[in-house]
Amino acid sequence: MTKTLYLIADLAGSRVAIESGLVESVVHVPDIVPAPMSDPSIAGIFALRSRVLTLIDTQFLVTGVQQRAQKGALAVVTEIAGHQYGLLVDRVHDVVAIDMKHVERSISAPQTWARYVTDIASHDGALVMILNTIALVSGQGALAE
Amino acid sequence: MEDLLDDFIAETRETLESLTNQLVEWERRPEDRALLDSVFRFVHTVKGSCGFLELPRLLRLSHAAEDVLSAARLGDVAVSAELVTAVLAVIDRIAELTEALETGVAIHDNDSDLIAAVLMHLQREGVVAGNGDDKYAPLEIIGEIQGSEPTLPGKSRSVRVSLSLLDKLMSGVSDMVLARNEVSRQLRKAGSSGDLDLSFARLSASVAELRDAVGMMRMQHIDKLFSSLPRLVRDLSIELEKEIDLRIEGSEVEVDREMVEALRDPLTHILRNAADHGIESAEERSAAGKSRIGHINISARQSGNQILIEVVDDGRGINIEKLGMRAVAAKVVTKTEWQQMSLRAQLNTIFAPGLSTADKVTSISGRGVGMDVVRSNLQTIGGTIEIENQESIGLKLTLRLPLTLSIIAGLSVRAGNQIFGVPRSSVVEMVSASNVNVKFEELGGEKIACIRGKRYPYKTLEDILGIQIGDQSIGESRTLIVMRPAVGATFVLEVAAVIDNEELVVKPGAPLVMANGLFAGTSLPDNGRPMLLLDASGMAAAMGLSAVPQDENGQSATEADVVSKGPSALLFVASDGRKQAIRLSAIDRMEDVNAEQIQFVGGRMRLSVDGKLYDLWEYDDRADDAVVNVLKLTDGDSSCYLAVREVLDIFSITGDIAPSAQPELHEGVITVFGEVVELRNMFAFFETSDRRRRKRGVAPLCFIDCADDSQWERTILAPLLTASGYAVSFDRNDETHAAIVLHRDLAIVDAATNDPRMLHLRDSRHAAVDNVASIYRYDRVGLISAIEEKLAVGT
Repeated sequence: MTKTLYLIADLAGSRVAIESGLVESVVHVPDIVPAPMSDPSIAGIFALRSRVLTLIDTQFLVTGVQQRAQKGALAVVTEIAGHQYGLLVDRVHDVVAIDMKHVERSISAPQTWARYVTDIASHDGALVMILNTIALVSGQGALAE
Repeated sequence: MEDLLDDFIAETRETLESLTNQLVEWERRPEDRALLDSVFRFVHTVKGSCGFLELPRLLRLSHAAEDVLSAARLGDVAVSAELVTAVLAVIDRIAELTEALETGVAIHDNDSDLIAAVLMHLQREGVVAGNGDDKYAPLEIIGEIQGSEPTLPGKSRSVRVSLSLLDKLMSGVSDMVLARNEVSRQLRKAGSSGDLDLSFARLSASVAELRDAVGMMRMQHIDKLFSSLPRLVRDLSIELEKEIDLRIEGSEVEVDREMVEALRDPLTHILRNAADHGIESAEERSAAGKSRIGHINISARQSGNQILIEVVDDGRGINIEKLGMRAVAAKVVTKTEWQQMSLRAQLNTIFAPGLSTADKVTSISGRGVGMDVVRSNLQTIGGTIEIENQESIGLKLTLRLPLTLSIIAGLSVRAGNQIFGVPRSSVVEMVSASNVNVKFEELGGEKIACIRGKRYPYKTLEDILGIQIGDQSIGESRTLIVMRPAVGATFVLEVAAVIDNEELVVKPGAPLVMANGLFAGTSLPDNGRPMLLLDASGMAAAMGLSAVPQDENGQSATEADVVSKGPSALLFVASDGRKQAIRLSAIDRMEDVNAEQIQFVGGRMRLSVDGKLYDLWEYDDRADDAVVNVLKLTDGDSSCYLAVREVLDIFSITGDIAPSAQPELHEGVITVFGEVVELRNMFAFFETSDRRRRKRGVAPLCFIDCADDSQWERTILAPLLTASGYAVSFDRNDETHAAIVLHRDLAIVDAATNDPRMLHLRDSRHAAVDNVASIYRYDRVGLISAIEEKLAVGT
């Protein structure tokens, strides 16, 4: 009977859930400064008040097509291993409690998603993929392993 | 009461920290009276406070130490090594108990042993401890007065603040700066009124000040870390019965507070290793033809965007064969692997977990905590460690730490449409690409830059980063930056433009961004748009320059070049329209400043930059320019600015310098590009520049002997002395240890004529009393030089 709060969002057209404890805030990204020669999954860096955050092009990770992130795009702010990141999302919906009883064990995530998804749960009758945020910031290079 | 106790704990801890070095020093020079005095003052202060706070254990300990020390002060007891050890043991216990007051941990009570060890010295010398109390009664009274104000002279008070609070403050202030910039943009847009501008300028200035202060709070001299090392080495050398001489350099290097904490363990471990395994016993050393005393040198310096800490010992170094045997035995490598490894790789197995070259486990090192822990500790803060081994001659460890979170002087440059930061320390010079001294040559399709006849590897920043050349830069003159990385060859980087010169707060970048090795971190300048900081070594690597072999060639070539070509100088058009030259070494940087920053105050033109005032030379205030070109000149200690009309070029001084008829203004006359110009004399700018601040570590104490209500001393003399860099005291208790004693009462002259510290001030211009040397009290220059003269004799 474990219920955890998740932020439900749309990412590359699919519905995903991010554990709310990991989410610091959801922001509209101000000016994005590109980071040349970096991993292709890096959309750039941006400032959030006095901090500098790294913006992750989540769509690229899943689809392999780089997103043209623009000022005002929506990002989920999270801290991973001492660094702060913004994960680009299309849309955020709500914070909901998902009962771990409802984890679907028989269905696995599509191959392009598999690396970034820990579980698949059903919520409100629809399936959502629960994201593994650490995998999202480990870059494309890790794919080769 | 609780507050008092907290104060006592914080204060004792603080004093102990500053005392540590003096304790070790004292042991080396037991006869040094000043050191003995400070140790005495410490125990005495503790004693005074403990009595008041009812802390019996601390009271007994400090009392015993005080008795012995006061006997030593009177010369009744000789200061021997045993006495110092006994007193140190008591002071250590005082430190432990003080910590325990806060943590509530119980400390085993064998105080009486320590006390007996101390008091033994009194009895041995035939001074009965009991007598001490009566005998030194007058001292006690002086002490009580000190006790009521238990700070050492020159020591400022401080409080402890948690780091997280500090971080919060820091990010709050940064946010405030960004908000201020936003407001300023809005104000400009709205077309503001004079009054509003004025109050905003005030707000703006105080925000800037606040930010500087908060920035300073995070930074700390590395001395904070180093100050505990002499004591550590002292204890080690006694325990190991080896004589070790520790030298420390570069204590003034500033690092982030967190870095100091993170370095403490690794550095301690390295020192233990060096003392225990590295340095041989005195017999072994003399057999090997070395001095009997072992040496360990620790030095810190900032190099580019790194902090380098070197620990060098002249011990036996690492025995590679033995290391190999151990590595094989510990199954770190196989025998075959070992034989195939390069020497460097073999050496690096010392960082493998579970390896030690020590023959036996001692209480000091070899307790399973190896170099692997040192390395991983360093890696967590983004540092590296390198090892240089010379068997039987010594070992050198180089710790490289990033400047993470520190503030560096940087340039912001534009490449394409993007702004990047460059640490100024790796910039040698900047030249416009259209300068006549710059030529490009081609070699196998690659461009090579040739500046004043010297060739450098060359690439544009856009090329390295793979970004588009920006639209704005077409037709504009681009800038070449000559860069010298911390390791590796000098090269030329071309950028679209150099935008600004600013202080950059370096923040760590996410691993994914840093992975390409091109960046040193990120920074958030005042405009709120983050930028990436370029790493000079990374740039060099991206240009395909190998780091090591070219270095020495490049270096020596540069030096040879300088020797043959003579010193560099800058050609410029002075404010009066004439061409002149000035030595490049004296120029810190070139800047454009707003005319509003310039004011005629206090009898001369001054320029205010970042809240500080500098002398400004040769500013022509009839010229109606909003922006003024200035050169920042420095002599190492102080800086001033020189206004110029235009900066022309950099050249090498060749040929003779013809002497000038006005040597105070011009060093001489030289020929540059076929023209004859004057070479400005640097001396003139600094000779008359405002030099009231003394550059010394500690402000010498001046005791002013006067009545409590004397106005002249308090309102005129004291501020003058303070402004000139001296500490001033009116407290008669300070008279004994003051460096200078000043007074106006010529009646007491006879009594104290012999005191060499005494300076007599007289009321009239003419000497009132014959045969007494005195200074007219309004003769400022005479007074300061007399004080300096006395200080010089005293040291």
